[in-house]
Amino acid sequence: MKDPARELTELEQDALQEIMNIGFGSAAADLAEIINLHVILSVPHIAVLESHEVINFINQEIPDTTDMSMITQFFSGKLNGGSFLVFPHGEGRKLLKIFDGEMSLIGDNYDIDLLEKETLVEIGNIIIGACVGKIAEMLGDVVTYAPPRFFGQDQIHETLHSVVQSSDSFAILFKTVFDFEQYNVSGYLFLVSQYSIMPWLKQAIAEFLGPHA
Amino acid sequence: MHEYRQIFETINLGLVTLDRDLKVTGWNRWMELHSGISAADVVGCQVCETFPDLSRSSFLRIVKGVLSFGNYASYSQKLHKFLFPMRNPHGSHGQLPQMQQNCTVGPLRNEQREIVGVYITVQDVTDFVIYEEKLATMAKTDGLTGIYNRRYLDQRLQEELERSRRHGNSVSILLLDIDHFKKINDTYGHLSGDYALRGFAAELRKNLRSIDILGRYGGEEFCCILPETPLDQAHSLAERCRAQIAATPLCCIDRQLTVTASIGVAGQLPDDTADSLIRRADYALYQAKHLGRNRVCCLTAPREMVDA
Repeated sequence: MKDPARELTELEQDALQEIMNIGFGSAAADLAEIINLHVILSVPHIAVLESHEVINFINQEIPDTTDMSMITQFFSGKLNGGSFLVFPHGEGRKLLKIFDGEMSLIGDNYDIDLLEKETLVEIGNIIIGACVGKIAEMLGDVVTYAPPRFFGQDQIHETLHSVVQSSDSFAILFKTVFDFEQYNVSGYLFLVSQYSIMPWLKQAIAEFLGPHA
Repeated sequence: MHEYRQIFETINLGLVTLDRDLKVTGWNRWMELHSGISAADVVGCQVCETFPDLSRSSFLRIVKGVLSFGNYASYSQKLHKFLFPMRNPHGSHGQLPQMQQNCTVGPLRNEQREIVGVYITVQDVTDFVIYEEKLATMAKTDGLTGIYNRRYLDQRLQEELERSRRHGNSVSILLLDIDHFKKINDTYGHLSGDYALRGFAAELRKNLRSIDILGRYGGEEFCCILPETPLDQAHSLAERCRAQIAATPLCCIDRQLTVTASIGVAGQLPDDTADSLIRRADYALYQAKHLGRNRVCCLTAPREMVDA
């Protein structure tokens, strides 16, 4: 049986899609303007899924995580949940170019995997901050973040499972593909939230729609 | 608030707050202590003027990001070594003059939830960095002789073979074995044997170039990877090592011992793996032993190998 309180109506789903489009657009513009990071964020895909469906969905999108790196960051506010930034392993290396000119500090005795990890954490959390922050802002909320965490390869599935399963049985999933133009790097951003935000979310969407609805 | 103030001042962590113009608004005692700059002197100043190093784009990128997006950012030691240049306060100052730092940056909001500034935490991780370096060195060193261990040799040989496939410069290797080493142990005791191994490694190292990778392969057997070295050069290098070893007495506790070495040399062939290259060097070493020891044998093609 479907519980209407657990579902987004078509209108609400469209509105949320719109909010995400505007939010990601302005996040990308800010990233370019403020920190000179040019990112293309694809039109996000939104779905309200049960937890096992979330896992299936992510499995379908990324069938093989054995060669992936993931940054997770949890956020809390009225909008709360987790964000997962997933890159193919090795792609993060290209982002090291961002630190061009500062790499001399590091010297030659470094571990490239370690640097990739640190770069992904540093850059990833700015992207997450921009995207999540914008959506929250458009929904009239301000979120705070927990420190970012890095997971490599075989740790990814386990982490996703434990996160999705511990959150209450429903999840609202947002997926976008992003592209760093300058560095030829792309990956996925998933935001997973809990069913418990639904009443607030419905109301925030109604406020966004305002007199048009 | 009074309690928070006490925490701010006494916590074992550097705490700094900046306003939107990057002027310092807070500077705790930890920062005073380690930077040598008092809060009175720095509060109200542009942080990049007091610390010109902070105008690095990576720091500004993070702060601008936090001011715009309100995210929680990290500035890691692994990537940046440190944020605020401060003296390493530990005994390891000679080894690492600057304090190594892991920093985080987060937003500060006013009552209207607008971002009015940022806070920075500065954690001193110098000790961890020193331990890490020590562990990394230990993991690739042979405890007795101080040269590389087997594990590191295996790893480097793999890397050098890959590198040479990319750049076309051939790799050669030497396998060296101390002749009649068992006799030293049996005659003078194991401690003397240990000294002999140490002296042998030191003597070898003197005769090698800085790019050569010398390690203890096991027991009294040593291996040397010679990057960008064709077989003929490797052969003359081996011959020089052999002659030098035979001519130089090693100090073993209360006596001087002269040892000789047998050396097998092999040069890389197009389809070589680490295993096949080592196997040829090992076969050459076997030949050197077989022909009477204290000599160098060189093997080029696999077909020269007959079943031993």
